[in-house]
Amino acid sequence: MREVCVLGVGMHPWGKFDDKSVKQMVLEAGNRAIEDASVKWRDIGFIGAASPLFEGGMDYGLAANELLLAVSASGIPVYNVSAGCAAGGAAFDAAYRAVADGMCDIALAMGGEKMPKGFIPYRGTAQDITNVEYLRWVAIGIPNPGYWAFEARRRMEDFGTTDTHFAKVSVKAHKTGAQNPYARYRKVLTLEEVLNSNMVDDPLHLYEICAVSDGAAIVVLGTAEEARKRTTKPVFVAGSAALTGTFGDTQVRVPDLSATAKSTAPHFSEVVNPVRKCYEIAGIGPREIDFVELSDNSVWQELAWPEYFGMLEPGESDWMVDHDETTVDGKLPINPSGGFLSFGEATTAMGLFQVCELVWQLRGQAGTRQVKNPKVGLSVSLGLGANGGAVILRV
Amino acid sequence: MNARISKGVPVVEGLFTWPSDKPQLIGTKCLSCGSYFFPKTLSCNNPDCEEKKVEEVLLSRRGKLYSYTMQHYPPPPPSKFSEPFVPYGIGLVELPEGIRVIGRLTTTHTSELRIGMDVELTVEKICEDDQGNELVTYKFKPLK
Repeated sequence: MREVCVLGVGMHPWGKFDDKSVKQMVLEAGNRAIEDASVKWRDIGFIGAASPLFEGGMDYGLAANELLLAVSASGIPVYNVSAGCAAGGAAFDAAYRAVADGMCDIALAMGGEKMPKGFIPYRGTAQDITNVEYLRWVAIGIPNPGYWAFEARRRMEDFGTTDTHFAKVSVKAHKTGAQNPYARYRKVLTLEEVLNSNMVDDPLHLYEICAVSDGAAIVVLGTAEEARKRTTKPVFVAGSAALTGTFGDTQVRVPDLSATAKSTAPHFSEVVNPVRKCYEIAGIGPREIDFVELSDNSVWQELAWPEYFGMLEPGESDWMVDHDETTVDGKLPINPSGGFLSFGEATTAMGLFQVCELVWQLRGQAGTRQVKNPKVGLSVSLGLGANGGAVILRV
Repeated sequence: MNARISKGVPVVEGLFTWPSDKPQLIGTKCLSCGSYFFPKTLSCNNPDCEEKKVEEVLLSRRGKLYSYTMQHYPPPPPSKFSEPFVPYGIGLVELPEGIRVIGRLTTTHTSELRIGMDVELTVEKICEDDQGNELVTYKFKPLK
């Protein structure tokens, strides 16, 4: 395996862009990443692309092909990958492996998505008894935040987490998100505004769950040799893993109706598994991570996941939030970008959005939301179908 | 009006026994490792199992409330609910078989709920269909 570095990153701002195609958004993000990496489109030897769920990719999940046919029909191999909302992480992993295994010296990972408004709609047709995506709507009527709400309510019982703890996570996210020029929601919120926002799935309020947005993010990877041609301070990929969940996981995961719960599997195994794998590949322990970007589909994830990842003791996140230790100036900054709460979820692009933020932070280019002198950053994304992706970058 | 219509039509066939005075959820059990699944599955997904064969079983009617939420917004189609929309409870229930199941709760008030309380399976109206038939689904009822 060869050492792999991030050569460049580029993003399109997150928001609603009714007059723009996802192809155009991807191309703009790509041109920024190409310029940032100091490479030409023809230098790209492989593309790992997150297949979009809703628009683009020639309506066939062919995002990489659509981009190449638009900007550089160079004949290179591509993987268009599906992994639900973890597809960005899977696309990154494919591009990482292409460089690490020696298929090419420079590769690109991409994700772009334009989302329908409101709850992510049911698009299936099959109505058989094993189709839980159909059953969860018709027999119960539970949207995704309902699943996070179960976890949040249980956390309140187990650790004494309060409505205020949850609301503080949102306030913190919007405070840093307000300083991010790529964020969709750049308004600072007060604790009262969060707690007074509409209840969606008790105990989660509207400002405690993420919206859906349009967005695109692209990362250019290369060998250490290619990186050193361009910079004296490369950002290294210390670990990358795109994995799946384990039998016996105690979470009832979206869109299941049940969990066959065994104590042998970690809770939220599809994200814990790739994080642990990344620690192993990187030879880095959980306490050596300087900051984290994680899928805050709701405020609950931001409290629970760092505990699941071994960075904090179970229940410790509440103390961290009470003492502002997860802000950009704290002991363990979480989602310095502003997270999904400030960006809204452009599903398949999120894993790469997270990597862009890791890179900007590690290079010291994050402006007023800069974490103080970080050396190691971790990103984690969760996807439908028990998919998860994790990346550790270091300088 | 015949008995079936008066008792309601299940929103989906094969999820729970109906009509019945004591309805039960229909799941599967692995013949090798004994794991339970709901709804019915085609196979066991325990990687340690080699046989993978499952049989249809009826699950316990009583369990303990592991967690809960209140759905405050009308969810998107194909969800079923009566107009005007009234917020409803959804429970995450631990059954003695070692499986956690989600389902609607009979209550619409969180004040009636506490984690760890006993709940029992019942079947209740969810809405009416275009022909005026009462559609029913399974729900968990808190026991005092």
